[in-house]
Amino acid sequence: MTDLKSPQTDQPTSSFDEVLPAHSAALYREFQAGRVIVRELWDNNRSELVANPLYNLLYNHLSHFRTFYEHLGCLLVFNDEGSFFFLKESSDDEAEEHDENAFRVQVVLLLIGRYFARSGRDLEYLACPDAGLGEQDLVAMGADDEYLEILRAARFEKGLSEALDYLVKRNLMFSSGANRYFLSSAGMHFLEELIREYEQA
Amino acid sequence: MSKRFSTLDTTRLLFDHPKILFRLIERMDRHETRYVRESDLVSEVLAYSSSLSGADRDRVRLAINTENLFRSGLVIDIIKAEGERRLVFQDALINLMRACDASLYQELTDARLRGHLVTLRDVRARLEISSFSEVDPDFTELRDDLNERVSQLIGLLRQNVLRMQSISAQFAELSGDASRAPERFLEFRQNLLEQIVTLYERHIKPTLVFLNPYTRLPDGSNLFETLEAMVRLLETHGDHNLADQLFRSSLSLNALYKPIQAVAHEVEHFLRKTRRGMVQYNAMEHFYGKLRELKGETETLSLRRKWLEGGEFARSTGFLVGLRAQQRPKHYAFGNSPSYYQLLFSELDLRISDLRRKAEVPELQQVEGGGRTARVDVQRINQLYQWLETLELRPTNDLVRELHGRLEGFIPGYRFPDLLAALNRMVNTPPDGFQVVTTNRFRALETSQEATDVSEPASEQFVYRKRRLELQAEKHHD
Repeated sequence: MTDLKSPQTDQPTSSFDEVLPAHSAALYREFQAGRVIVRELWDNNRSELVANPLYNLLYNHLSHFRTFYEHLGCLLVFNDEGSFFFLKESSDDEAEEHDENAFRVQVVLLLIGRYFARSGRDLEYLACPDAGLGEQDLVAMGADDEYLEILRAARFEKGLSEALDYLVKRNLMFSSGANRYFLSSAGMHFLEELIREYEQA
Repeated sequence: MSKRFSTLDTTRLLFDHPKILFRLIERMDRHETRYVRESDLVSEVLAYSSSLSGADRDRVRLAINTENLFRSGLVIDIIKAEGERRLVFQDALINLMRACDASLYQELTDARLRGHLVTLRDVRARLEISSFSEVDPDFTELRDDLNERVSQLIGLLRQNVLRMQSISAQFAELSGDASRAPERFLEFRQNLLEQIVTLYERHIKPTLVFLNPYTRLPDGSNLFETLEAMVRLLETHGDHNLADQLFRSSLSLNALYKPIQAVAHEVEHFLRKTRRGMVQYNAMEHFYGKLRELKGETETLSLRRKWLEGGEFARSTGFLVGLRAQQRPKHYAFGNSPSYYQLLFSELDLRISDLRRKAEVPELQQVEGGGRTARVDVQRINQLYQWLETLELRPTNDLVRELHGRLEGFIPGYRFPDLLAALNRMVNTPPDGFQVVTTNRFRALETSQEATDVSEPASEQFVYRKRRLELQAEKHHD
């Protein structure tokens, strides 16, 4: 890898040189918090989706970060269709607990998807900032005993608001206003995946 | 093989192995009969029990045979016809079995509903000419009859509502093929529409009409009119107890209208779906069904199974598997560290000294937006300053938070603007021997949760630059 003849003066650029430590640290913090890095984030002040600089950073230095996180014992997973990255703990010993987070995310997304489909709307609108879930939807979902029971059994003891919060904190969903939510590309990807799987079954 | 089981034990066995009866009831419903053929029972029991072992198998085979069932009273009649023996099970047992499995509910048809209405009208007619006397056995019998009819009707409708609410799964099942094979979509769709329309026309709509208080029927009063008339009759004759009870029943019947209406809406949505929408709908139903199964597993008798065990489910979809947990807030480090205890004790000392001076605590009067004057403000701030003069502080990394903690909940009428004033004072005239260092880091404070819950205004936020309070001599590094 390194050029041994002139180690002092002409070090070949390491991939570390291309990334600012501050950016990398910011990225690490995001992953540490269990977040998913999506291509576009919701800007509350401008009320529009804006490009996520961290996503671009990852995208542009993909192999660097792959290796980097591999050294930390994790797997950087890139999902092209859903345009998101997430960090997967690759240790198998705690499989149970790791499935748990994924499962809870899936449960909430599935409940939202099912509610939405039953209400006669096209699921695409769930990922639309102007549409998504409104206050009435939240009331209707919160009034459904079966949903609440499932949420409770998935350890969302405070019910729907806690579950939505769980998604928002992970960038799987954005809040576009008081009691208004819509799915991020990552959240929507899950529902699309389910539909695809169903079609192929 | 002369072993006999008591009625209780036989019933218990039937419910321990409910599949046998479930299947028999399904068959009964399919053939629309009121009996079970003995040969069906025998073959069902044999097929089912072959998977059981030893004593269990024998027990099932002995208990669930015609002889034992008849003697224990669970089979009430054995009819011999067309060369076969037909068993009529007790209605109560069958109904209980139906209650255990939503798919076994019989749909209410228009004809059945009408039947109930006609009986109720009949009861009403008899009530009109009744004596309303407690000693008249005709009346007391009629009253019992009325109670039974009404509760039966409510039970029936409730079951039906539960059944209808599981209609989404049924739709998914019906339209599964249609949505999966796009090239034959039109053909399937035709078929599907027919089935759904039947369901809607024959079951849902009649129930809706039946439960609509404004329905006009050509042949007489509708359900609610009938009930109301009976309530009035009972009231005029002073039987308020029964009148109230009937009134409450009519309320519960009325309440059933809404869920059925919701189902009707859903059917309507469904009929308007495109293929894409249908696939989405079905996919959601399909996976939701799996989730429901998992939930079912938590509803068994085991007390330990409280949570969904979704590992397999999560892995099967593969989405975000291995996602990190969110960091939990770090708990207080009750460690052995001397500095931790020193901090704790000094904080306690300060709080105690605050409490000792409780009598001198200034009361900052609530100043509301309208009536505030500069004079009040000045007076208010002065009071606060006097308190601050005598406030003992220790070096801290976050003076603002420290001050807030010392003032909030301690000084009546304290608000964020007071903190601002206090801070201003601290920065300009720091306590003796201290200096205030203003950093460029920002922090935010919120009014404490309990306070906002009670009085309901949106929780206030105070964004501030972090300030350190340091001993003057010391050159402190952060």
